[in-house]
Formats: sequence, C-alpha cells, structure tokens
Amino acid sequence: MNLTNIMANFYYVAAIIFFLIGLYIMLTHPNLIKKVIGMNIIDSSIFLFFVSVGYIEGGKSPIIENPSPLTEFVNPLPSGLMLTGIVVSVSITAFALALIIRIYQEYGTINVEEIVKIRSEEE
Amino acid sequence: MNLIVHLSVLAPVFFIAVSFLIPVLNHYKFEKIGLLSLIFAGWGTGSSLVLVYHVMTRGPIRYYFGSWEPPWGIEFMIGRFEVLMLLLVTLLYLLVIIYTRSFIQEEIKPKVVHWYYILLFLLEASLIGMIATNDLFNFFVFLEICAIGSVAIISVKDDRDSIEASIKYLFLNSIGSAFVLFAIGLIYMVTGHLNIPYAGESMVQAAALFPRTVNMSLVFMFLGLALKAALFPLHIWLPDAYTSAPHHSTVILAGLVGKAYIIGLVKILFKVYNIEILQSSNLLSLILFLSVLAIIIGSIFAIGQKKVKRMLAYSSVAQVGYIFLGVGLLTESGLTGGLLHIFNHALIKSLLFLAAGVIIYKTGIEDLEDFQGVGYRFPLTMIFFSLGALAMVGIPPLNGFMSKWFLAVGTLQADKPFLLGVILLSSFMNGIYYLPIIIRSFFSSGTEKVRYEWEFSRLDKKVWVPMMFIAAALIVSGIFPNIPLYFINKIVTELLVL
Repeated sequence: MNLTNIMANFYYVAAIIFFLIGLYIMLTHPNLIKKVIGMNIIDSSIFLFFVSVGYIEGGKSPIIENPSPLTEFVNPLPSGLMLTGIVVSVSITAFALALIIRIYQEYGTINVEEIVKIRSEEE
Repeated sequence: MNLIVHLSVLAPVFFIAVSFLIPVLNHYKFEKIGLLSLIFAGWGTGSSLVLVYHVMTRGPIRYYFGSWEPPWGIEFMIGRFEVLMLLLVTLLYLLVIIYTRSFIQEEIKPKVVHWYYILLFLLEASLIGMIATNDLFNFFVFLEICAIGSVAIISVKDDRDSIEASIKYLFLNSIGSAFVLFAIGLIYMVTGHLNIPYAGESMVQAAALFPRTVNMSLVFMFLGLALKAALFPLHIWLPDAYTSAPHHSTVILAGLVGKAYIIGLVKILFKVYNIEILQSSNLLSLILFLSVLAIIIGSIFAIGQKKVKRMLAYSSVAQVGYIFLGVGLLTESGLTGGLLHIFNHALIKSLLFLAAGVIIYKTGIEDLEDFQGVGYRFPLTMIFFSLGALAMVGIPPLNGFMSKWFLAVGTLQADKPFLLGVILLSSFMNGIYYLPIIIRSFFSSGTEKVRYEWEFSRLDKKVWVPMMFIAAALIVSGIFPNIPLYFINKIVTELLVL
C-alpha cells in the first residue's frame, strides 16, 4: 500500500472517508435533521463508490457505433443500479423528515438529548 | 400449469399492485377494504400452496424476469426451503389480517385504517421478494422496501412512544442498509456478478486475489444484516419498537421481518462466500460469541421486565441468538436447528404476541404483576399463551423442543460442549420468566373466582380462530418435525456442501 497505489484509487478512498464522516454524524449528533444529513452523506458516498467501480480512465460511454477492439467502455451497470439507490435514499429521507415533523409536534424540539430529558422528567 | 407458476412467482408484484389499488378504492368511497384485504391475503396463501405443490412434485423453480437469463437478468429461485418460508409468511399474514380486522379501529385512527393495509401489503411483497430473490441488488431493493414498511407499521399508531421508536428504528435500519449496499458494491467489484451463484463461483478466485476486499465486504454484510436482525449488541431498537407498535404490527415484526433478514444473511454467507472464507475470517467465532451473549443477556433482561410485551421483545433477542448459534456452529444439525428455529420461533412468537394483544386489548393489563386470575377470565387465550410459553421453554411435544434438540446435537457435533451448557441454562432461564405468568394466571390462590368463564361468546371469532390455527401448527410441527425438516434438510446439505 504505497502512495501511488492510493492516488490511483482515490475515488475509493474518498468514498470511504465520506462514509465514515456520515456514520460519525449519524451516531454522535444529537440533532435529528443533522442525523438525516449524515444518512444522506453515507448514501452519497456509496453512490460514489459504485459509480467509480464501473469507471475506467478515458473510457467511453457504452454506445457502440463503430465497434473496434481498442475502445474501452465504462461499465454502465453500477451507474444504472445507483439510479435505484438514489430513489431509495430519497424515499427514506422523506419518511425520516415526516417522522421528525411529528417528533417536533410532540416535544417541541428535534434535539435527542432534550427529548430524553423531557421523557425522564415525565417519568 | 405454466400460467399458475407465473402468477405465483409474481406475488411481490401482485402485492405491490394491490397496495396501490387500496387508496384508489378508498378515494371512491369503497367501504369493505378489510374484506378485500382478506381476499388478497388469501390469494397470497393460495399461491404459496400452489408453489409448495409445484416444488414438491417438479423440483425448484427458477424464474427469469423478462426472460433475461442470469448472470444478466434478475432471477427468482424458489427451492424447498424458500417455499416453506413463503408459506409461513403468507399464512401468518392471512391469520394476522383476520385478527387485525376485529379491533384495528381501537388502535389506529379510523382515518388511516386503509393506509395500514397499504403498508401491510408493501411489507408482504418485500418479505416474499427477499426470500425468493437470487440477485444481490434485487435483495437490497426489497430490503429497503422492508425497512420502510416495517418502520411505517410502527409509526402508524401515531403516538409519542411509537413515533420515537420508529425514528430510532429508521435511522439504525438505514445504517444497516448502507452497510449492506456497500458490501454488495465490494462483492460486485471483486466478482463482477450480482447473481448469487455466479458471484459465489467467482468468489473462489477473488478471495485468493483480493483477500482484504473480500473480508471487508463480509464484515459489512454481516454487520448490516445483524443490525437489522437484532443480534445482541445491535438489538437496541428492538424492545422499543416491539413494545410501542400496534399489536398486529408486533406480530409481523417479531414473527417475520427479523427472520427474512436472517434467511438473506444465511443465503449470502454460504452461497456467495464459501466455507473456507468463513473459516479463515474468524467470523464464525464472532457469530458464536455474540449469539451466546444474546442468549444469556437477552434472557437476563427478559427476567427483569415488568411489562408483558417488553418481556416478549427481550425474549426475541435471546431467540435470535439461538438462530445465529445454529448458523455459527457450521455443523449439519446446528444449521438444521437454526433454520428450523426460524420457522418454529416465527410461529411461537406470533402466538404469544397475538394472545398478549388480546389480553392487553380486552383488560388493559400490561404489567406481569396484574396477570393474577386472568386465566379464569380468559381461559382460551391464556391456554394459547401458555402453549406458546411452554414451546419457548422447550417442553417436548411442542415444536420449540425440536429446534433446541437439533441445536444441542449440533453443539456436540462441533465439539463445543460449553455451548450445550448455554442452551440448557437459557432453557432454564426461559422457564424462570415464562412459567410464573402461567402459574399466576391459572393457579394463583388470591383470586376469588374459581369458575372458568370461557370467552367464546365475548371474544370475536376473528380473534381466537387465528390463534387456534397457530397453536395447532405448534403441536403438529412438534409431534411431526419431519414436515418442516423435509423442506429444510435439502438446503442444509446444499449450503454446507456435504
């Protein structure tokens, strides 16, 4: 694992770093909206990862007009899969936001620590 | 015949279509949505029965969507084990929908009752899809539908506790899905396939070339699905979710949703990765360690609970430990026991939650302390509850005994007698928290009532018929364990390459 190796694969490194940032936000931030943002960062990092799996430096889009054995094509499948991934991510986000609105109506706050405090006072 | 197979295999599509039909019907003021749902659920059960017959007579079904053959297209693979699980899912769904119709109005605001059926059918579609699919990305899509559906059937109750439990569940679920998707990406990167058998073939070579990537994908896949299936340290969402959900949702969550994730995990662990990778990566020791912790600590927590639904929820944590124990043993009986316990536990836990739901709904009693004399007022319901409790402890004629027996033999085959001790200890602990409820409700001396008041006239038929059906299934599959084993044996030899 030398430096050139890492530089050649920097999409993957970036994807992993974003994944960890998102996970850290989700696990540590008390604010529910920021948790949702963390969730979206995780999802985006995975989209980056998938798309870079199929990417080839200098590759063409896979529309074959004049087939020659020398042309390299980008793999379209991971990008196609990520369309589904984006849809799924959007729907989860929408649902989470709807639940957060309900939380705000019940407690008047979206901060997890304050919610825990309110609950412990109730009991 | 061919047409029947088409119709049956396309059950997920059917249920998704049905769930979007319901709001349309509601818009045109269609009154009998409950009855219609019953017909749809019955259709699902019927198509599973057709599949059972077809698989038993003609062997496994491989269905290529749009006739695109693998490795390119999406494939459904329905073998004997899958067909058993499909029958379990559709049958429990039918029973739960019968049960639901009697007192859904009490728990859910009347305005959203028809939405509840939409969610139920979406969830059923995703469960069927997760069990039947043979394609990794397709599995992920159904996993996400299942995540949304399972959170939504908790939040539909729309009170403080359920909203809070559901947002916790949703966040952890989405972390789990992200882990699984990442693992699928890594698998696709090293093998170039999304179809499970093809990925498994290429995995042999890939594991030699990229051992680190393969191990990383294994860890991500395991963590993601273990989080969703609530293996011990990752179970934190489970008690709140099960306790605050409406009773009928809890039955589906406890009986089916967790199980579908475990089935997916088992298939991926043994079919995509192979036994050499599992053994060299130490994952199996981790699974065994966590499952022992789950069994013991889940039981300890269950003993300490005061509310009946919470106690059952912690008992589920322990039972998930049993299933993982069977998977981690890597012996024939162990895996048979684990897979059999998926089937048995789904039946037992559904019966327990159905009975507990009736008691909570009819009397308002939630605390275990107040169960005194409930057996006199609701003898039938409490007999069903006791049957479930005894099956959970592992009393011989009931089915819980058979899966524990296979697990125990499995621990000896794997030469790990310590684990046999854990199974015995936890059966003992199961007794500690289940038997007092039975004793308190039937034999406590402090009650003035001595006459049993059978509740046939007071209780709706829709409530006790489903329970009776599941109770009969407990006894039948306990006395004739060969019926479920007929479906399980083949996949065990396939997975362990015996």
